[in-house]
Amino acid sequence: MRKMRKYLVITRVSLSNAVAYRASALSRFCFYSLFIYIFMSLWRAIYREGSVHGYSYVQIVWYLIMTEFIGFACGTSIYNTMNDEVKSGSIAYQLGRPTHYVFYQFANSMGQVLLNLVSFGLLAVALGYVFVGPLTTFSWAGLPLVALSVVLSIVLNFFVLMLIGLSAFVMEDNFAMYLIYQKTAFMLGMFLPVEFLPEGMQAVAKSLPFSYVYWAPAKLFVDFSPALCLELIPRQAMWAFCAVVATLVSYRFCIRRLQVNGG
Amino acid sequence: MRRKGCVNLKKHLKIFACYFKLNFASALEYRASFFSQAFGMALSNSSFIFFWWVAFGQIGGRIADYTFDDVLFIWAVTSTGYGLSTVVFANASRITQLIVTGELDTFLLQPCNILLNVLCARTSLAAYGDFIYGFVIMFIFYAGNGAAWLWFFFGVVLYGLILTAIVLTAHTLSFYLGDATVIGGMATEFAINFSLYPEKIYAPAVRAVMYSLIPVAVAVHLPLRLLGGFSAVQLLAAVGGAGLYCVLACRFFYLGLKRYESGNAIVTRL
Repeated sequence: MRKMRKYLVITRVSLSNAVAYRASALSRFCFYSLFIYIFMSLWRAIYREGSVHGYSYVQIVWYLIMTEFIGFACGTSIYNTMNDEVKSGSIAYQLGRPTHYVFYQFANSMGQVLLNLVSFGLLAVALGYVFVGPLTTFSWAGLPLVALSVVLSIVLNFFVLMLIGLSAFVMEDNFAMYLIYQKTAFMLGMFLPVEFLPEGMQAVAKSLPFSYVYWAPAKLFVDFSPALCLELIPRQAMWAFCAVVATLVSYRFCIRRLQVNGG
Repeated sequence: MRRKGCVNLKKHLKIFACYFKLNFASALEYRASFFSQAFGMALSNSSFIFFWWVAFGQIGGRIADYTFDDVLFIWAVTSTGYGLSTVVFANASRITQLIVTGELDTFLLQPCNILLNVLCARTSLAAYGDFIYGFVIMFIFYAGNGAAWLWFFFGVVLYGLILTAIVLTAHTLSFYLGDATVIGGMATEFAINFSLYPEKIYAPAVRAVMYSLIPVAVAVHLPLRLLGGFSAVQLLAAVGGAGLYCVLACRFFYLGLKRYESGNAIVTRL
C-alpha cells in the first residue's frame, strides 16, 4: 500500500503539470476535430453509395469518435520518452529514483491521460452530437464495462509502446517498429471495425493484440451486449497482462546492457 | 542585367544542389536510421491503401465519384509531392523555431538568397520513404499509362511547391504573431488531409478553401481531372494559381523579415 502511494503521488504531480500546461492541448483538440470531420465526411460519402454491413452511419461515426478518442486521449508519448532517455543516457538519472522505472513511467504518464480523458471526452461527446446526433444503441448500464475496456486498452497500448521503447537498447533506430505497431493497430480497429475486413482476416485480427486497443472498446461502446463483454474483456485483460509481463522481462534483460559512465 | 540574373540563378542552383548533396550524404551516414525511417514511412502509407481497399470492397463501385485507381493516383501524387517538399525544403517547418530562438541570424549573414538558404538547409530522413512510395504505387497500378505518369510528375512538382509555400506562409506568421508552431502544424495537417481523400466528400465551403487559402486541390485533384480529359484552361489555371501562390508566399516572408529583430544568438551550423 505504501509502495502504491508513491506512484499515486507521481500521478498527482504529473496531473498538476498537465493542468498547468493545458494550452498545449489546444492544437490536439483541433487535430482531433479535423480527423473526425474528415472521416465523418468520408463515411457519409461511402454510405451514400450503399449500405455497409453491420453498422449504421450514426454507429460508424460514433465508432470513429471513440477510436480517435482512445488514440488522442489515452495515447502517451512513452515511446519517444524512452527513446530519448536511452539514447541520451538520461535514463541513468531515472534509475536512481526509489521507484521501479517501468511503473514510474506508467504513473507519470497517467496524469496527462486523466486530464485528456476528461477534456477529450467532453469534446468527443460534443462532436458526436453536432455531427450525427445521439447514439441510439448506447447503453448507460454498460458504461462501467466500456470504461473498464478503455482502461485495459490504455494499459495494453502503454506497455506495448514501452516494449518498443525498450528496443532502443538493442537497435540503433526503432522508428520502423513503432510505425508497424501503430499502423497495424490503425488497420485492425482504429479506421475500420474488424467486421469490415475480409472474413479470413477477421479471425486473424481477433487473435492478435492490436484489435484490442481500439476495436474492442469502440465496439462495446456502439453495440453493447453482455455476451460481447464476456467475449472481449477477458481477451483484452489477457493481452494487457501479457504486455505488462513482456515489458518487465524485457526491462530486466535490457537494463543489464546499460553502461553508465560518470562525468 | 539579364546576364547578372542568369549568373545569380546559376549560383543559387549550385547552392541548392550542394545542399541536396550534403543532406543526402548526411542521411546516408546514419544508414540504419535512414533505411528504417524511410521503410517505416512507406509501410505507414500502405496502411491507408489497405483502408481504401477494404472500403471499396464494402461498396464495390465508386466513392464520391472516385474509383479505387483514382484514390491511388491522388495518394501517389500526395506522397511523392510531400516527400519532395520535405526532402528538399524540410527546414520550412522549422522557420518558427529559427525566428523565435534567433537562429535566423546565421542565414541572414550568408551571401546568398535568404529564403532558399533557409528552406534547403535541412532534410527529413522519413520523407524519402514518402517520396519513393508514390513511385511504387504508380509502377504497380499505372505502369503502362504514359498520360498518368505525365500528370503524376506535373502534380508532384506542383504539390511540392504549394505545400512548401503553405508551410512557409503559416510559419512566416511568427514574424507578426509570435510563436506560430500550432498554426504551422495545423496548416500542414490541413494541406495533407485535404489531398488524400476525394474532394467531393467535403462541403462546398471546405472545397473553396482547398482551391484558395490552402490550394492543394490544384496540385492533386486537378491533375486527376486532366488525366480524365485534357483542358488547356484548367492546366493554365493550375500553373498560374500555383505560381502566384508561391510568389505571394515568398513576398510575405520577405515582408515579415523586415520585422525580425536579431536576438544576438551565437549559433554554429554543423
